[in-house]
Amino acid sequence: MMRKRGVALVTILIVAAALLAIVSIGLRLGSEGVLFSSQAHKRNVALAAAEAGVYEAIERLQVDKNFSGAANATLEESGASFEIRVDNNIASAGVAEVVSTGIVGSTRRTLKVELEADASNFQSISLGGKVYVYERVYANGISGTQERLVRPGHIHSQYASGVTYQGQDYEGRSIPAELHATGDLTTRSGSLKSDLGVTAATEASSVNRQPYELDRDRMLQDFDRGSAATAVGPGNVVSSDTLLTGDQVFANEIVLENGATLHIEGGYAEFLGGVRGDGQVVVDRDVVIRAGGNFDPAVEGGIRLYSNESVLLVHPEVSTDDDGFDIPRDQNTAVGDYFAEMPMEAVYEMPTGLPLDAPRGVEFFEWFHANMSGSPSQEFSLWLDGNNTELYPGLSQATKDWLEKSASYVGAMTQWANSGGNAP
Amino acid sequence: MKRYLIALALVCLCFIGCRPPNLPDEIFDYINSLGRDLDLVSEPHVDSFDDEIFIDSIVHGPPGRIDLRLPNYVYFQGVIQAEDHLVVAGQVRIVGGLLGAETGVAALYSGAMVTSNPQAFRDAGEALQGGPDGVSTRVRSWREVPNP
Repeated sequence: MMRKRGVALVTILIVAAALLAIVSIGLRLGSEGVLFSSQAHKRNVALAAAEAGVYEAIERLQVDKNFSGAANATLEESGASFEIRVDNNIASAGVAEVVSTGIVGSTRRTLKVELEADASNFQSISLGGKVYVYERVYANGISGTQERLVRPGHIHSQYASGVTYQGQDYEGRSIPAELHATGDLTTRSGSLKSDLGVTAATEASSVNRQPYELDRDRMLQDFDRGSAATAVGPGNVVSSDTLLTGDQVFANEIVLENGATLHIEGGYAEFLGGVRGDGQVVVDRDVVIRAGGNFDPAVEGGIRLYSNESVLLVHPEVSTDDDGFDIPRDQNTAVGDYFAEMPMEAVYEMPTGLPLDAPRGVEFFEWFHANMSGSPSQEFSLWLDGNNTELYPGLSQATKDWLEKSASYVGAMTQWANSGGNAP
Repeated sequence: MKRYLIALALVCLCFIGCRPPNLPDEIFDYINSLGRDLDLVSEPHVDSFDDEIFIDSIVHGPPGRIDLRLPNYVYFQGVIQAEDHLVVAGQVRIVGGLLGAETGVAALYSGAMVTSNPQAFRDAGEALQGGPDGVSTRVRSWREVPNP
């Protein structure tokens, strides 16, 4: 009898111990899971804090473009904090580097971000004086020559002595003076415009905005007069710093290689074949440029050209006569005008949902008008008016109006196309 | 005799008071002060691109990307700064920026176009001075790195 009771006790103790072990393991596994979730949460909060640090750096640069160094802050709601370090080389190298560390307790995560000045900082036209506008003039913008994304083009003048943008009649023609800006049109003066049609995102007067300017002395800072070439190189290429003294007339196109500076000292410069490339041109007196027809997509920035006096930049077909500048108008200029007026949004809208049977070249515009005046296909109507989906958003009224306007240009476009791009 | 004198006075007034109709006064005075004749002669221009390629880039190309060429246009790639006067005449597209006219005026004619290109300004480096106090930026690269 006593032996049987002893065995029962041992059995109960073994079972109790086993149960205790199972519960302990379960509790331990549970707490590790909680720990894991807690740690993942802290890492996410630390990353969010690091992101907040990056935005802090962006805001500080919006106030002070020279901001550089360290800063830190604590986020109220989460209690996390960030530490940022900004290495600002925007002025010299075009980039500011931001290292931002988000901190939650002992958990840290770090982001490294490169920032560059975006297109909105730079005006298409930024002047100090009054602006006279004859017929149609345009300002727009791009993100860069590689991406070529459309950006607003802004116009500003610091002129403060009266009407800033003055429309003028071009003698003998009936095209009204119009200024088309895809961005803002502003002036420091209290009086913005007179006798001028304007298309702009916004118009405002009494705006004081310090303009950017090329600093002549800094452009010549590294120019070594002693070792500079004294003539333009073979093939009219300027491949190194070149100093020319007195008046210069270049009958052929001048090409500047990256890093080269052409300094015309004490004289004027006439580039009658155009000038292109990637270097600098500094001219002590006035400059005349007859622009060339070659657009080089490989050039990202282009030339920095400074004149201590005036610059005249003209189309090859422009001549001077007793009336001033004789600027011919023909079928080709009409076609150029039509495409120059294309709304910014058209380049986003037209390719989206375009019917597969839409023809190429000038026939596209003939196809458009044929559909508009006849029985449009279902695909055409879907492309034109959309169905409120991302695949078929439809065309804006501005794009539709521009396409409708092509009816009076199709003949000129056809002549332009058939003549190798240049109608007789 | 009286009529002759009046006619002579009118002719003189015409020579003295008549300025070319397509030039602002400031540009007229400037050209007269050049000390040389600005004899620009018209030269024919032929576009170097095909109509199909050009129109296709707008209509059939990737949405949002533009072809910077335009029919009949010519180009200047870069930033221009003139301390005095600026004249852009005809269908000329400046891809970069137009600055200056601090002591003069700007006269823009008949199709003149300026397309801002931020890279043209960035390339100027420290030679580009002035501008607003702050700078608006965009992200060029973004990545997580080991903690310092």
